[in-house]
Amino acid sequence: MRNELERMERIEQYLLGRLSLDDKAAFEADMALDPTLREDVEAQRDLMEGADRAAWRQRVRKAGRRFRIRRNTWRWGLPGLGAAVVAAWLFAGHGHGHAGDPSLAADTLLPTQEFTIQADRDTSIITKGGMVVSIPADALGAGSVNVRIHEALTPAAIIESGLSSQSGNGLLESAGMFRIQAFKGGNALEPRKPIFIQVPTDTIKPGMQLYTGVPMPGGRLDWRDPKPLTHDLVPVDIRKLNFYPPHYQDSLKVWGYPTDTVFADSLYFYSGYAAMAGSFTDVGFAIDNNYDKDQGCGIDPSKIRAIRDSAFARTFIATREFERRLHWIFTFERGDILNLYLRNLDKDLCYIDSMAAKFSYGRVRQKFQYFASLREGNVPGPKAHLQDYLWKLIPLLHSLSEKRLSDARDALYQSNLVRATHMNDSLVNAEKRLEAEFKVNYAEVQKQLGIPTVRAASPLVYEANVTSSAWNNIDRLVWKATQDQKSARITDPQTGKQAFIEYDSVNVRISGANQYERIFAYLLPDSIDAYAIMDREGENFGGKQDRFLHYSLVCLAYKGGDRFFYGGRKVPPGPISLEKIDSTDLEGRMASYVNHAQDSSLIKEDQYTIWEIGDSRQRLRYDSLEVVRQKMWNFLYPCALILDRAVETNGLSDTVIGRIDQPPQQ
Amino acid sequence: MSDQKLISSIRGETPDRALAVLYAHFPMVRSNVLKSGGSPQDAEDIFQESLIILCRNVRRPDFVLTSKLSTYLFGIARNIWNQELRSRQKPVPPEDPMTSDWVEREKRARLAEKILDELGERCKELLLLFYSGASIRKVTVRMGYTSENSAKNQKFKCLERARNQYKSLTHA
Repeated sequence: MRNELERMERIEQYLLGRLSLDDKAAFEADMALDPTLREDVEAQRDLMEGADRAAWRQRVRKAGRRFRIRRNTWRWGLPGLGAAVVAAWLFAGHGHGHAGDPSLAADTLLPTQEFTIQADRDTSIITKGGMVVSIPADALGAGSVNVRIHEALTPAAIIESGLSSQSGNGLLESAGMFRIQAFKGGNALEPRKPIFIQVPTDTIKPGMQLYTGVPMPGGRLDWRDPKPLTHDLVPVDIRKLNFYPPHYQDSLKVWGYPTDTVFADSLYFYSGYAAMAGSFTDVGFAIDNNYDKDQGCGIDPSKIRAIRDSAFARTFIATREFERRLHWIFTFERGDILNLYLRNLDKDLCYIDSMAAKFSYGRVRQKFQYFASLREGNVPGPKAHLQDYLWKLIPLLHSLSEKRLSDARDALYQSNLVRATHMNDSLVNAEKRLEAEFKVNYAEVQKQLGIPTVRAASPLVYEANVTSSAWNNIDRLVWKATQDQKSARITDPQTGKQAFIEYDSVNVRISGANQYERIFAYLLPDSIDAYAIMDREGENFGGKQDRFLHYSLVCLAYKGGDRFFYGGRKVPPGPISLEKIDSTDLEGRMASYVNHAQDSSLIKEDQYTIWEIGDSRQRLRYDSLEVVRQKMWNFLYPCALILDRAVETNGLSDTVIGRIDQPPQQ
Repeated sequence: MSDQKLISSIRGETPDRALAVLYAHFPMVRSNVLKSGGSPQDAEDIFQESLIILCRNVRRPDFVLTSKLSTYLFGIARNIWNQELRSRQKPVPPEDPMTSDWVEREKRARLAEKILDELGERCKELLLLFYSGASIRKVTVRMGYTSENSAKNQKFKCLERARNQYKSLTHA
């Protein structure tokens, strides 16, 4: 296995051109002789090429997405907003009796469309011009009724029929005029219920109203009594609206998380942002700000957080109607459409709907055309100031989330550094202990064999001119025994004398060891500046003692911010219990069991452990947030998956310490 | 952006900008593919494939541009679309005279890319990071390994899996 790795590494060095000239020549000679090596080199080269391709594919796909978005923006253009437009309508047979004046030229100039309906049923009529007239049952009495319709829906038809759009002294912009009359047995009927009319249009213009034509002397109509076509919206308590992505709360429930608002909010706004910006644990990397927030992939949670502000209680945001649209905006992952609504708080919903439809195609377009047809308006009242406020709030919240995330990453990065340093310290300690123990053993062995020596033995510095292979051999035997912490018998091949190194196993049981958050038992050899940590198995701690040394035992445990201590001049046979101590006492308590170097090492260990307990708690929180983040990501930002990042469906790296699948403690 | 600028952008750190410019040729390739019986999906696949190949070729040290870059792109697109038609046993227009030393190379690399896709995201990401020139330190931190050594070991394990898979496919 090891060899295989080295072999692969060498192949890689060769392919990357990192071998020296000599090595390269040697490698090529090997290749010439070894067909398997040749194959492996080729396979590895192809895989490196494959990785290069994969990287380019990601970039090209991203470019493709950007291209489509740009093209759609150009194709549809940006609609001009704010022109006050008013439509003129002729609605006859509804109240104002004058409208039925037979002398009106339009009645004869426009083709008459006649329909016979059964008045006791709901009936829809579609006219030649595409107008839909929905007559509810009983609106025109019962039995067979004749409905006569005149329509002038285009400017040309309006002019030809001699109609004008004069209203008082002004002119109206017309989206079409029509007259509907109903007769039964030659008598004109008045509708008892409103008749629902849909007039086809390319764009819904804001401010269109229904006017009633009043005949004036000279056969002209004056348009009066305007009624808005849209209906006002009734705001509800904004906190009662569900602004989460579809299935978000269901998913929380399924995953066993609390569904209360506080938790759901914090998770959505925090993890949701992280889901967009990348992993919590992606430490050491700048947050990717190039993420296409408004380009049709995913919804920035900062926007959702912003619109939940009670300042918007008197806007369409606080309505069920908007909630429904938001649901579909999430489904279609159209951040750009959300912006359209949020940038036009003062417009009627149906007007924004029709813009949204214009900016889309396919299913999305149909959905927003449908919304537009509902003619839903706005909540009455001034809104201009709120517009500004909203768009100041969004970037603010966005940068807050960004900061939280980058703080989290920085903290994690620092924590990694501290942990790595500690790991390094532990290694240094172990090496130091081994080396010192070796010296002791070596000296003892030489003494036992009767070899007078002054040579300082070190396992790390082998001297070149050893005079006899026998001593060298003893070195290694002693080193091996020390390293393995196993008793050994060493024979001097020249004299036949024997020497013994002996290690004893020691065990100690610490009562209630499992109740502590952390517990360590240290064996402290009196003449060595290092320590050994005993292996733990439940309540039992085991270690090895070199018979040439004398050992003290120090145990330290931690729980709920408190320290617990035990110290002994030797490892006692029976179980021991720890005693709670004040943190300032630690040094004094240890004094009789440790030497100076051990003392400062253990103080360092103690400080590290205190830090580590807190840090682990924090990491656990990040880890569990990360678990949810990855889960959420898959359904909050499915489109992100086809971009640069993808998560393994089974979740997380195996290297994160102490991961649990539990809700974070917030 | 001039061809020379595009090339240096592809060779440098900002290929995304070059790709954005080159993507403007998509409608042309698209209409060609549609005309010869391809679907819109084919068109997109062919075009993206061509862009990948173009960028990879441009980054080769021996690359020399002998025509306009767009012409080169169309040439690649035509070439791979013809290959695709041939593999679907459809009639193919007369072979393009353009030299295409990359065809075989890309075919192998595409297979390798597929293998990497099937390795699972973690392995794939790890290898991609390594071979896109990220330092081992960066990879270690980014992938959350405890040490550079374990990152390296993991990389070779992934590579070994990929290599075995690849060899079993190429020798089948």
